[in-house]
Amino acid sequence: MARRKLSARVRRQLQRGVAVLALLVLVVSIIVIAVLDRRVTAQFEGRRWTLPARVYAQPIELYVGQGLSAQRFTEELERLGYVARPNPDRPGTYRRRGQHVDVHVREFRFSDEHQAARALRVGFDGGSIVSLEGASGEDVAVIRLDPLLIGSIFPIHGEDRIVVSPEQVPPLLPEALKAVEDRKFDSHHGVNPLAILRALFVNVRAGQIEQGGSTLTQQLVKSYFLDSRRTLRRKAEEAVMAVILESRFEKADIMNAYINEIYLGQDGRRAIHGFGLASQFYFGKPLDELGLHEIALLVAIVRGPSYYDPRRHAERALERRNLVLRVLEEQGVVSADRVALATKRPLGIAEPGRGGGSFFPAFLDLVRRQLRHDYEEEDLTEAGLTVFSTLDPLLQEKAESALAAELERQDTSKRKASRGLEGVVVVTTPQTGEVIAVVGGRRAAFDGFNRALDAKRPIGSLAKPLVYLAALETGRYTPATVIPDDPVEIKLPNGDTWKPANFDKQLHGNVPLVRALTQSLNLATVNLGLDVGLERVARVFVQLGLEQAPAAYPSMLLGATNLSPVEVTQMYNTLANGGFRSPLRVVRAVLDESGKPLKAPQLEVAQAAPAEAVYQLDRMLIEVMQRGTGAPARRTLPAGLTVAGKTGTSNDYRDSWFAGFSGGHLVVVWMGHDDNSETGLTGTTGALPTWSKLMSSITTASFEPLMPEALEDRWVDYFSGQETSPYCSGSAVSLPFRIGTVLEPSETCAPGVTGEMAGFGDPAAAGLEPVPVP
Amino acid sequence: MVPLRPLILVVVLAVSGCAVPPFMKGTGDRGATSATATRAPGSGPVLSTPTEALPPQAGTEPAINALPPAPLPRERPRTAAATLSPASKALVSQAQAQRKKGDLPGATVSLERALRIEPNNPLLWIEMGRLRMDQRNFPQAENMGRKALAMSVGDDRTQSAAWQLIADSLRARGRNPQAEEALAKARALAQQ
Repeated sequence: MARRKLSARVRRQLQRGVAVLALLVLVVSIIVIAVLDRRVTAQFEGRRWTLPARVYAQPIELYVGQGLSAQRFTEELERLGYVARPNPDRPGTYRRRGQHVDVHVREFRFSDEHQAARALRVGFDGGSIVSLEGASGEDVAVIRLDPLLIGSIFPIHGEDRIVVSPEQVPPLLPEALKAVEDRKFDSHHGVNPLAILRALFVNVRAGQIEQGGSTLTQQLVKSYFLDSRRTLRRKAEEAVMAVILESRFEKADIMNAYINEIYLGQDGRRAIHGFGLASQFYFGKPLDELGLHEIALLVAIVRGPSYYDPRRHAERALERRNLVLRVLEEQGVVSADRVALATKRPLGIAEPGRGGGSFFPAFLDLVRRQLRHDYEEEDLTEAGLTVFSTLDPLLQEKAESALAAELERQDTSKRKASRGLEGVVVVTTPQTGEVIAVVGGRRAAFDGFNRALDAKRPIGSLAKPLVYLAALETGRYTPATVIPDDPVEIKLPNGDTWKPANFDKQLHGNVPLVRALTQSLNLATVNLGLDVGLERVARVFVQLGLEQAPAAYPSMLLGATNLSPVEVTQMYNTLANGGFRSPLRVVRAVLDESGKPLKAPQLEVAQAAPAEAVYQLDRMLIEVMQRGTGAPARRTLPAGLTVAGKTGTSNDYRDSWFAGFSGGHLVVVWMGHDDNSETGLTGTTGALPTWSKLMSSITTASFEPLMPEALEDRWVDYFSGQETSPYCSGSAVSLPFRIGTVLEPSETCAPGVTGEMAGFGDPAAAGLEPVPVP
Repeated sequence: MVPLRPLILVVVLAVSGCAVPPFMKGTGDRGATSATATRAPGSGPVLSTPTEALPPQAGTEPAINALPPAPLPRERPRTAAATLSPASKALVSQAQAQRKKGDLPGATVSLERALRIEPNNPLLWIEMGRLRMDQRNFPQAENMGRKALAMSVGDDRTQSAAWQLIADSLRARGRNPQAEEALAKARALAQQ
């Protein structure tokens, strides 16, 4: 009796327990589903992706008179992923016929206007554009090509993507994805139980998890929310979320989300997400321009972006691509003959630097740091900004190859110290202060230590022009003023004695400014700087654009100051720009996600030093290239190209510098070792060859600034500084002086003599084979 | 709507005729020193012995010019007025239209495009300065004017326009005496 009672009570309690448990399970399930539902919905409806700022290079401008050959133009089109076709009837295609190129320019949203896609005919005559017409033969004055996408500012977790709208997706892509990954996509409710069972069966037989039965929806959910651990709980969660997603959203939205979300490759620490970016990353062109074979490859990569990486495992990728093509044929997505044709095509992978990749890390780093003045890090990595940068891809390529060639030459040098060097190249257009190329090391595509910004090294004789500018600014000196190249001894506060010497260990007596600078004489420069005043010289550094004045020690006069290549570039840009300081710019414009212009650094100029003094200095820097330490460059440079510049070598040959400019470009080169050991190179033997190689490989104008009105040209003797005549002096040099300057006339060759002219324009002829001088 | 300023420019330029790039002065004689041809020792007449300061090799191998040089110019030649290339002209018109619509960022982009095509053209720097006036960035307007001055030496018409811009930017900042001075320069140059 008691037992029965007891058992009845137990049964009742049990029943209650089960009921409570069931209720609990129900409540928990509801809560879990509600929580998951909120997560799924919020993710899907809110901002779906955090979008890294996309950075574009400067666009190529087409106009009559532009110095561009048909050959180079088609190369630039190829770089932008344009395809040669017999009939260029859609955006992204072109046809070359001799001196004519027909091109269908893509549409593009620039910062000032949306430029519609447009057919153009461009006529060339050797090295320049002679005609530019639209489709109906109308003249076009000027038009931009769509710019090269050079990378993005992606966050630390490294997720990068380009979001595409459904109209930008070729219709074949979703069809192919369904055929290969999820044939029941159009009908299932998020999960495909049959596929799961099949996968389970295969997995049990194999003894481990190998094949996924995931629908596209499940893959999307997994990529959205979950990590890649394949536990049963994850699987269940994934399935529930997939069902929720399907119940709340349209198939088309889910497909578009998938296309933008999925992981498709790795580029260093940058993860390539979405087909939009993958198309740029692998093929260097927009998704809507891909052919069947290219779409098939991207679909092939979905299953294992690392395993099927077409750059590292081309064979494997090709095999799987062709498998995808066969499936498309079997499923009736594509006709057999199209598949046969596509199967014969190569992978068609674009070379690095041809779009989409972050192949210009040093430059992008500069962009990021400049934008950090105006934007929060999150704005840059998440807000979907579009950044129009100043990078000139062609110049960047030339700068990289000039440096690589010179480093390679040094690698095989007899001098052990100059093997394995590192180097930096920075290029600007001086008038606008735009930085158009930055090479940060011998592995230009390697995203590491950015030497252009962070390697602060003694600038050596690059400091000298600043000393001479300070002197000329006082008005007490002219290019012909004689200064003593005599020994200097300075007692330092710590009791040591500073006793600099000339590079050739010689004393040169009294020399005019022009010779002291041209031959980079240390003692003459120190004597000049001490006379002008250290504080005054230090101020010139700031005038030219350095943020902080260097410590005013005497050794500053010979370049003991540590500066980065970009800082040197800023100062020399002012010299190349006639004394007008323009803050270096790497960003032209920034747009928000909707296309509204945001804050960006503006083009600014400010007169940093008197035009007369800068002009006099610049003319002396031309002499450096004519007969001084920069003269060896003339062997490489095109005849008749006037350039100005200065070498720099730090103590014990640790750093080799050259900073020099034409009328259109300033190029600064640094070479040295990361561990700061000796290189055995001077500015003349290390950096200068890189500089002249680059300068001679680009289209640039002579440096021919206008002489200020208060100045006039006069002939003076290079060695004595006395006024002379080119008709009797073999060492006469024409230099600018303030009108009315009193010059001492030469006794042996007075200024008035006329007749046939002597000269020593060729330094070798005048016995002036330049000696490398620090 | 046809923008007014480029029309004026076009008219001015049509009147002033064909222009020489204004940044060639002071280079002709420098070119003479560098464009020397060397001859073997004793192969031709040498009118001078180089100064004693020359190294001995130079004394034995004097280099002489193949062509007699032109006499040194003492009078500064006047330069023809600067003109715009067709591409710049189109972009300046576009910038004008954008300014009229109040699209100052757009006008900036158009003018900067022109400046990249012709960075040494003072007219473009003056246009840029005018845009800075619209943006109420008066110091930069003046600086653009000064830059235009530096690259238009000998071109009175352009210098006058640059001084006019500088005068406007000074007046906008209430610096009237300096503005009057600048304006006087602009007027004097316009009359030459």
